[in-house]
Amino acid sequence: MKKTLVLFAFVLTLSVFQNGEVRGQELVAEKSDIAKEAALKIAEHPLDLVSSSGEVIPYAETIADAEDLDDDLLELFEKISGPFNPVYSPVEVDVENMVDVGTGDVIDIGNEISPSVVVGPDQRRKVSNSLIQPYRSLTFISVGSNGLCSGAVTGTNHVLTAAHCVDSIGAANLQVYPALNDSNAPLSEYRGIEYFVPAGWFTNSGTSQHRYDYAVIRVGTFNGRTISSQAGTTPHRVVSNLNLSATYKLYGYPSDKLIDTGLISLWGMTGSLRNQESHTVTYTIDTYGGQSGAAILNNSNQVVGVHTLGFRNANGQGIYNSGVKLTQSVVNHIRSSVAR
Amino acid sequence: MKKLAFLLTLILLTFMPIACDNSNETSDNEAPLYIEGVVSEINRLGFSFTIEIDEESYNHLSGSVIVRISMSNTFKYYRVKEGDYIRVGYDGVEMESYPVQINASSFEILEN
Repeated sequence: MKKTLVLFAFVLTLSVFQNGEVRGQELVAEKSDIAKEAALKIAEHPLDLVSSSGEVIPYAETIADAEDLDDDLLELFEKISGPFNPVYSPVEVDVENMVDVGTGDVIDIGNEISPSVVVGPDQRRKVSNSLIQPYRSLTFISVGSNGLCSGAVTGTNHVLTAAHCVDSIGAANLQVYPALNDSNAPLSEYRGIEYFVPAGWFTNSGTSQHRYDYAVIRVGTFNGRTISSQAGTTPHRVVSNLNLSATYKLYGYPSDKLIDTGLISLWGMTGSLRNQESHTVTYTIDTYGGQSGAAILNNSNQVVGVHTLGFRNANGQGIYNSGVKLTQSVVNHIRSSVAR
Repeated sequence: MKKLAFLLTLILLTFMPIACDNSNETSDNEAPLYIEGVVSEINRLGFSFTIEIDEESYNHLSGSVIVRISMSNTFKYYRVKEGDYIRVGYDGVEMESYPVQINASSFEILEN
């Protein structure tokens, strides 16, 4: 019996030690992951909005924010705008320090690139002039030291993108470059200050998480100039059912083209939608890693969705891509974020 | 004394975290896809790690992939080290940032 008790004491000690170790690591994680902590501990509804600073904005308040916007902000959302007073401050982007592309030389990977998310023949084309709308207000987003995403200027100091592009990193580690092309940023760079993500992104998992995969980044100014004063804004449109027979544009910063050319450039294509559910839409428009957060534009160049996902079948072949629709709740979140 | 031993065993089973160390996370996908590669970076705070894909094991992706781990499988996650060769199951859904991100439905360390 003594042996049993000794063994019990040993296992119990080990158990308490391991449990304590994990609790300690989780505490560190929580302290460094403020938006997630706010979503899990304070938010009461998946459509509450949480910020990277830990603020929780109840959904009812986001609706009130959206309804109370002043006319100037509403104008930004309803038609293609600006640039209002552009002053060119071009920035040369150091590709090698931003994204690991080996030596920075052109790497011919040819057919090694999976055709999976490029459905059928690659129909993407490079934008020749990114300074004209709607391309001007589309953005490259540098995520930390070695990640990238896409986005669109959607408010005075605000950029729409995907939640998974921002949720694991501090806002100050996000750098936004509108109209970036051939690794040149003609409209300067804007550092992230704060981001807003729906609580449901953190409180759901698996397929139920995807409808919440959108975020708004609030960025700082560059030499006193706002990002929208240089790039203009991309208007958005509230949608419920999208017209599946219409064509849509999807432009962003695919990593395969970066690796192929050694340059960061704006690429995309126009195509049709495949199917839709209440909050998401699928399409065979070609995309690649790096295009998350890219705006899905209708024929009037209004944002109707945010690109987020690629899907593969059981054989690993890409079958379609997907994004989040700009339903009323998403637009309420965008407008509430922009109002802050 | 037997009652005491039984009671202690009950307490032990209740609180022992090793019992939570599932070898697989749950997945809705009946036939998950699998990728293999070497762990190049661990983000303890974000409950994720980055692997460099072994293209001989899976030729539909190349380069780096960020693997997200659910909070329910933290014990196994904490055993992962940089340099481990690992096999990850996922449902075929890829978040199209760069690097691409996936939610692991299962993972196992094949070589330390």
